[in-house]
Amino acid sequence: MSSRARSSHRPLRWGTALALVCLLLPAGLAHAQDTTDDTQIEAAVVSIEVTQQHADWYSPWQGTRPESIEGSGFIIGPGRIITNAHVVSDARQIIVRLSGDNQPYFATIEFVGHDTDLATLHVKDPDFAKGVKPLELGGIPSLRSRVRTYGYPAGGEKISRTEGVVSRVQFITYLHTGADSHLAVQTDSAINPGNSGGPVIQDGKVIGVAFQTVTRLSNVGYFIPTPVIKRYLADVKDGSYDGYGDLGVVTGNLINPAYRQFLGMPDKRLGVVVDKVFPRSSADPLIHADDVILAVDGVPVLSDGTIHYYGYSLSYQQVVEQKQLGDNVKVTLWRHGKQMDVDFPLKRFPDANRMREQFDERPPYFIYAGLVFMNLNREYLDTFGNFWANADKPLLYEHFFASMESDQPYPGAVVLSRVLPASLNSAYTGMVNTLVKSLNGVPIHTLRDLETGLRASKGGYHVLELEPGDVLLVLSKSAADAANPVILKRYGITKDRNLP
Amino acid sequence: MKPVTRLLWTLLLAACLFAPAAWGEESPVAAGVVSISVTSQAYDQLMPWIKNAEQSATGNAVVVRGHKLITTADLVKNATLIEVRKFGRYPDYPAKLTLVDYDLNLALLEVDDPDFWKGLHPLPLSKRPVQVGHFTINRWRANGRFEQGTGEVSDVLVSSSPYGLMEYPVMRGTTNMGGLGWSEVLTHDGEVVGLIIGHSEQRIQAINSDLLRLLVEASERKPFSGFAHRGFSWQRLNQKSLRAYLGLQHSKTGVLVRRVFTGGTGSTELKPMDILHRIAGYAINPEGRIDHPTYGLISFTMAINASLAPTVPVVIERNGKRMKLELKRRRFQSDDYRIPPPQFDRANDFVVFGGLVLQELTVGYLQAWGNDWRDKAPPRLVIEYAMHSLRDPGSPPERVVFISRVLPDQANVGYEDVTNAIVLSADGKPIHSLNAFREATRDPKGPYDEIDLLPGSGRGKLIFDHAELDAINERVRSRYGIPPARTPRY
Repeated sequence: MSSRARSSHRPLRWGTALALVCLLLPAGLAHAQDTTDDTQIEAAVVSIEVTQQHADWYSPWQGTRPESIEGSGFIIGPGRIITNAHVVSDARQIIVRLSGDNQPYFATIEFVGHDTDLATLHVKDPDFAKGVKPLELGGIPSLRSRVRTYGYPAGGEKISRTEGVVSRVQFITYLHTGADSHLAVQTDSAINPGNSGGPVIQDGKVIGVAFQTVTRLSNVGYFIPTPVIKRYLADVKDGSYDGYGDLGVVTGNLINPAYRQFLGMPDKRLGVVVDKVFPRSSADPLIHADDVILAVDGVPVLSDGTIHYYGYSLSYQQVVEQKQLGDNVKVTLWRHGKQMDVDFPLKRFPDANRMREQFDERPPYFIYAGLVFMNLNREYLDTFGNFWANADKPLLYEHFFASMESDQPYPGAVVLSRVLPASLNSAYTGMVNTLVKSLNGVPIHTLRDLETGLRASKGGYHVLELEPGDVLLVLSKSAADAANPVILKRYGITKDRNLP
Repeated sequence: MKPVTRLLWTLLLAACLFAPAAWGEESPVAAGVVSISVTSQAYDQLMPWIKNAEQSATGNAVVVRGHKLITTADLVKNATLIEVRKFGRYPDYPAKLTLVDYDLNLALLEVDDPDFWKGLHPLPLSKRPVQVGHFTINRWRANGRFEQGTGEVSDVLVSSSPYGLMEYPVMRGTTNMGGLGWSEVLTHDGEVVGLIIGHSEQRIQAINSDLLRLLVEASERKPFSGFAHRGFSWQRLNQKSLRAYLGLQHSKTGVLVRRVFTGGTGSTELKPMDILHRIAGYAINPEGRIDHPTYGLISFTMAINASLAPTVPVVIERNGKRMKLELKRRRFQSDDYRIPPPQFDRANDFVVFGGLVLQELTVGYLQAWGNDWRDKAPPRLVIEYAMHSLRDPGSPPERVVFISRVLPDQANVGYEDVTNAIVLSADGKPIHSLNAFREATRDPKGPYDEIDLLPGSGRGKLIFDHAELDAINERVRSRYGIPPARTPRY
């Protein structure tokens, strides 16, 4: 069993968050071709000061120390602002300021889409931004066209305007959750903290929201393009943010001639082969492994998995990305030598949340007799620092590979994350960071399973079976029940559980 | 004493304690330590038909009875030439490897030329390797100089070599001597107490003389039965509630057997949930330690290799009843592994099929990623090793077959990104060895060969036109300079 740093994962995640900054060229270096009145645009760009308090996934019953960060945003309607989700996640207070005006305005989060790194804020004060014209959304910029980025880099009070060139449009991983991929536009601007959430402008309209960079490359920044922003705004129109649907399939290219002949494919260019269909996903049970996806909603899918989209070659997932949860999607398949159509409503990818960084929620946990139990998820693994090096391999297998390699729905997993030492458990401190396989012989997959099992236990002992090592952890029921409140008090824990 | 005089005395004392010193051949220890020069050439783990450039290394060996030399297996692995030199002077004598145990990290050498042995004397192997407290580090350097330094024993832990799962006591110590890493010989009062197998700055790890003596004894037995592996997993019973649950509240000994393996010591005699109370006459405390006369408190697992006796006696408790058992000392056999330890001195088997390079996963392959291979090697393969390196009891012998890389060819276009992917089946048959792969793909039911990969490998299936495979394989072998296959096809 490996040891774990006692500090929370937050400093690391915050380190990542520091990398989620937007683009900026030194003002005045380049001359914009754009003739729109900059004053009008700058008036609609706001600075955002946020006091954040993150969840502490090592000590899940408490939060981390509050800290302040600064970002940018822009007005899209009366009292309504768009920014990045990572700017306002885990926010305890949000203050907005207009360009050239030191007057603070308190804002609340209207909606937040962590998977898409976008949020909308609301400022209640009727005096806020009076006379400021909201910015309008534009289209997708063409390659090598020039764009302007506005914002408040490095927390400056003065607005900054920089210019760059569109160098690529592609799907990338959005670092805020670390598990979601969407369309993004790459530009060659310099990157500075504080720009996050600021608008990227072309022809006087917003064509993106600056949001992240690549730390190992210089002069590479990304902004969220309007198809993603517009989809987000359409999603929240019904009063809640629901997020993305997903087909729930793994596909491979169909470039290989022998593979195409094997499948009896008549066409030389179309189709990707389905390697896996996740149980309970949108495609289950209508799409099968070894089916070939020829088109999605009538858009032909090429054999390398791309479609033509506004002059760009993009993953066919872009067709699905534009839809809302519950929307129907039509998939044209090649199966057993015949073409056929299936259509079905889009659902979320099963179990996606455990792969994501979590925000705005208290971590689920359960403490009994000094044993701290948590769900096995990305946040828990982040408490190891570099989990690929520091976490035990069975934990990594369970988290990253078990559901991929199984045909059954993933039931979840519970870990013994800490032992708060007391005389009845001190010899078990070396058993931390193990999977809880069973309690009194009953398999455990959720914290609720564990809590119910402990409560329902009839014998004199609780017997937990842990992996790796196949070790037994045994507690005397009466001694554990008696020690439980004492241990909680000793370690300053006011609540022994947060069960989902 | 005048300050200047005191300073001189202090310097002299420090020089005696720490500074390496050159000794002449008349030193009795110098006549029991020889230098070794090794030229080695390893096979490339990623492309196993290629031999890497040869490398040279030098080290030391200790002269033991019967005109034999002991050194570390690490020094002589993949050796193409081994030469030894006495007293740091010409000539070099060719030596032959008569026994190598990578699990122990020890090797025995012999030199046929009788001239070599003239003037050399076997060094006695100490029976008190740890209690001595201090030791002398002895080594020959390439410049013909014999050097000595001093060190101190810190502790003894049960450990394993990087090349195997066998457990044995490893002596740890500290020294001020620099430039370690040459299989230096540790002595005390002219007796050998250990052989250095690893070092880090001023810390050393050494195999102690007890094990060296056993190796000499074992080598004199025919056939070499050698040392044994532990054939079961166990856990401590050092929490009151756990002991009470197992009915051990009145006992002061015992650890819990959790799993038994397909091979190794105890694999056939022990059962899960047995309580192991005593081994080789020693009481096992609830933390799994015995009070050993040489090593003090130390893991009970060292008792498995404390002697060469065919069995090791234990006292266990099963279903509440105490009983005595004799555990047969067993070494893991090849079939006991799913992922075998590194293989040296020979190439890994491989198949080139449609440009795919298939191998059976070994620890040696993973170790190609360096000392921190557990972090750097392909994660799914490391996980497979961490979780399933030994065969499950009751299951047939099997290996993990995987595609180590794709040699680009028109036949595998679209498959180029498949690397380190575990093969599940070929032409509908489960694949648990390269021979099973060869057999499965010999005569597929249809015109295509289908290879199914573990989900998450980048793609699920690879397809090849069976009728074209011979031509494809010949083209790939010719283009990439791969020697002819061992079997008629691949």
